[in-house]
Amino acid sequence: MKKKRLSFSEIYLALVTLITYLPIAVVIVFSFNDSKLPVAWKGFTLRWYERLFHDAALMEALRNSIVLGLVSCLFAAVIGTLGAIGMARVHFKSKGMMEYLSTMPIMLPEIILGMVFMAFFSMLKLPFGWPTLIIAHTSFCIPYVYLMVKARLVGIDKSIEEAARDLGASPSRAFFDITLPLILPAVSSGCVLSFAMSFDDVVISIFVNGPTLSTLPIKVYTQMRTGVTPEINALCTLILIAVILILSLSSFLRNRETSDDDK
Amino acid sequence: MEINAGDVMLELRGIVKSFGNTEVLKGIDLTVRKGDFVTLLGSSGCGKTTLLRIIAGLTEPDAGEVLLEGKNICSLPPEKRDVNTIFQSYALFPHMNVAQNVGYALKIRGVEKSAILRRVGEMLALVQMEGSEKKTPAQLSGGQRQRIAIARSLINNPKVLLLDEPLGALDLQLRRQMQYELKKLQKQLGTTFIYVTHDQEEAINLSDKIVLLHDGGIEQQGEPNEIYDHPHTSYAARFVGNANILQGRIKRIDGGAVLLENECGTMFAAWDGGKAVPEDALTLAVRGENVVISREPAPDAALCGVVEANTFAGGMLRIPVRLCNGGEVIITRQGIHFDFSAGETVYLRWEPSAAVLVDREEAQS
Amino acid sequence: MKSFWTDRRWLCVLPLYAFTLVFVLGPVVYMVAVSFAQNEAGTGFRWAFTLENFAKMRDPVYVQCFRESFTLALSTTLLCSLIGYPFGYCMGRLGKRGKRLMMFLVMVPFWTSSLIRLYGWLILLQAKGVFNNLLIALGLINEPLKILYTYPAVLIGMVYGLLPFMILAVYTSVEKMDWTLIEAARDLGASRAKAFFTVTLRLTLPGLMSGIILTFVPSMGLFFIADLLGGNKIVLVGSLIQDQMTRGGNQPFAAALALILAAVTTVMLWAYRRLTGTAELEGML
Repeated sequence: MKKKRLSFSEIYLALVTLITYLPIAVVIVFSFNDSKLPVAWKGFTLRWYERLFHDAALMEALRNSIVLGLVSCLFAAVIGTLGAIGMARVHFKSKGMMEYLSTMPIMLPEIILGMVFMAFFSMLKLPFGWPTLIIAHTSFCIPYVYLMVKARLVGIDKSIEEAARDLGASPSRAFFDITLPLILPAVSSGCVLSFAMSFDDVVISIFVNGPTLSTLPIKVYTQMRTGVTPEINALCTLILIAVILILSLSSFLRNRETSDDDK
Repeated sequence: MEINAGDVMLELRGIVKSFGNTEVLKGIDLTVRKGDFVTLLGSSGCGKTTLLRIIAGLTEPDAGEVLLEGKNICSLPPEKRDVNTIFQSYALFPHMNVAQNVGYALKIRGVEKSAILRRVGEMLALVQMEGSEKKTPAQLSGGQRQRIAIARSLINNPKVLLLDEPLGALDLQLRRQMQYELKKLQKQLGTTFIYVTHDQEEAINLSDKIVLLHDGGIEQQGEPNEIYDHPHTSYAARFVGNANILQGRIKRIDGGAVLLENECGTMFAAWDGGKAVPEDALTLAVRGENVVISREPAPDAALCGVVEANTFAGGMLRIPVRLCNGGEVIITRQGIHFDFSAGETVYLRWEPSAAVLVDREEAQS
Repeated sequence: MKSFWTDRRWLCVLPLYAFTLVFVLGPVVYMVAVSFAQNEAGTGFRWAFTLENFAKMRDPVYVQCFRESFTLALSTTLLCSLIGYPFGYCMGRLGKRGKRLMMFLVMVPFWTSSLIRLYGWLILLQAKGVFNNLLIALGLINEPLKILYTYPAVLIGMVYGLLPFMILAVYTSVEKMDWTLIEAARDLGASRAKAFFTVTLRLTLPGLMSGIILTFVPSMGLFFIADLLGGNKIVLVGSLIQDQMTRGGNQPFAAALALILAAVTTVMLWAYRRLTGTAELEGML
């Protein structure tokens, strides 16, 4: 009679994971708490959710964040994917340098990027607001798409495209029939990742958002500085649900992709 | 071996190719007859795959011409050449199922869907993969992928099928079976096959003609038994026949035989009728199975050596005998019994017809 | 006729090159230039070469700020390594299903807004918050502890925010490792511990180093964590830069501070590249 005992490493994993989820659980629990102060449980309510949906400023910030995420992610997808495809064929001396520069936005501390953009944009006299936010966010979304697609391209057997040519496909046909479908999963996971990063960003946005435009993280940040309201709890809970949904979807896509590659 | 112009499928003239500073192909001239199974044989790095890619149009030669049925196809891109390739990695499209893979060439030519399906069915039947249309490449075993790659390449009825070490990834048993099936398929369809391999046994089993490549040039070409029995160079003798290479000075030429002598004794070789004067140094090749071993020296010719060990490999005994000049002769025998033990002094001898003189520039043509 | 898709495909890099040159290289070069410019209170700055922005950093206030940031970044990184390395290692030893589950569990907080998670700590650590109530209920303390707006609170927030980077980096490295090498080491007579230190640690070093960079570099700049959990008692270089850019109105000084921070980052990345031979950080994506 041997009982399955938890090993030390399993206990450790469980413990750390538990602590990781503790603050998240607290946020969720207090979003249903019938009290303005997140101190003690006073009973179940949904009124914070109701308030949330009637908070015009918060809702607008949410909309802004989604639009910003989608637009920068789209720009990044085009520039990053094309860049990775092109870079595979480039043999200039400048290649390494360019690669370093174009991935720099995710290597440098965010604070530097934000500060540098702020100074640069005001020098160019760009109107602070949508244009500056989109440029700044696109700059740190590109590396995610670029690196993902690049890794995928490296993993594709070169002879697959040659085989298509050999079977009668013109170069463009081979690209659209073979290479593009094969890198598409990488493009989409790069997009999901960059959307998440854009949606989460406070530090860079705060430098370039301008006086009138607010993204959700900025709104949350300023509210948190002035004092907490359970509305934020409700919002956080909703975002958490969205994250879990997106993550499940992307891990499903990823698993499908990798099971195709299984040999 | 004369070839009529009408029988020629493919002709290569003076193909030269360098990558960076290394010259991979140093001027290859080659003629391939219609319906032949031709093998490009050579060790890795000899340029055989590059040559194949040049025929397919995937690599551009620096100089030279590729003629398909007399027409220069050098300027044509791969998709315009009536030649198809089976890649070493099979290169099946991972995001398409078997039917889409096999039917890809027809889809590109705009063939009607039902016609594609019918033809795909026929091709799958040909490679004994009926009913696998809906499977994805990931669901297939190595041997099955191989068959799908063959079906995919043959669906267009190419004039020439190029195969780049197609059996390299398979285990020995599957290899043997696929060799047999490939040969059968080639006979049945009458398609010209150009096959690249580094495995001399495979080359001998399959080919109508072997082209032995070495160091960017053609070392020797001919029918398998011709290269096996009459290698022109020590490289060919060693690579194709696993022959022992020995050197000696001419002692006597006697009709069809020449007697050579070195520090360890004397040995026979078939005389090729070339130019030679007594005391000339010559090289001979003799295969291990033709060496006779005994404890007593034979009266006419014998080399003296010491048995080093005997090992059993691949259904054969391999007995290395160390000669007194440091050279080595490897004797091979069928079976597992051998009467001599390690350390014993022995005498080696062979019939004049069993040994070929090699590296004889003047006698080759 | 040459085809675009065989011979001109490299042209695809043009948008990337253009964007990078204008919006990455441009701003960075501008920052470097500004850091040597002369500040003029009220009107901005004048293009006159000066080193005074760097000289200003010798002011004890700023030295203190750098020291504090550095200490915080260092202790954050150390704690992340101590917690994250065993975590990534244990994760890498799980079965296929276990790995998938843990990966999901690690990724959810990682992808959740860092603000949300910070907010959870804010609630937990309040004077009348859950944590204190719990301790009082257990009878461990009588008075609520003041945790929020102290150094430990900031440290907790930092470690918590950056731990997933460390875990993912180490895990990627452990995952890739060939376990037969450990068996070989054991077979050759190495003890368990010896095999770990001579083989496992060596092979997962790129992951650990990548994790160190991925935690150290951002921790120098995450001003909002210090701001929210530390009140305004702890001023980090990040907060200083933000302050100088917005309220302080001294762009050249902010640029000089950023340049120093960028230099530290670049040196670390360079060291990583030299030691591991690759430019891309392990487990970054």
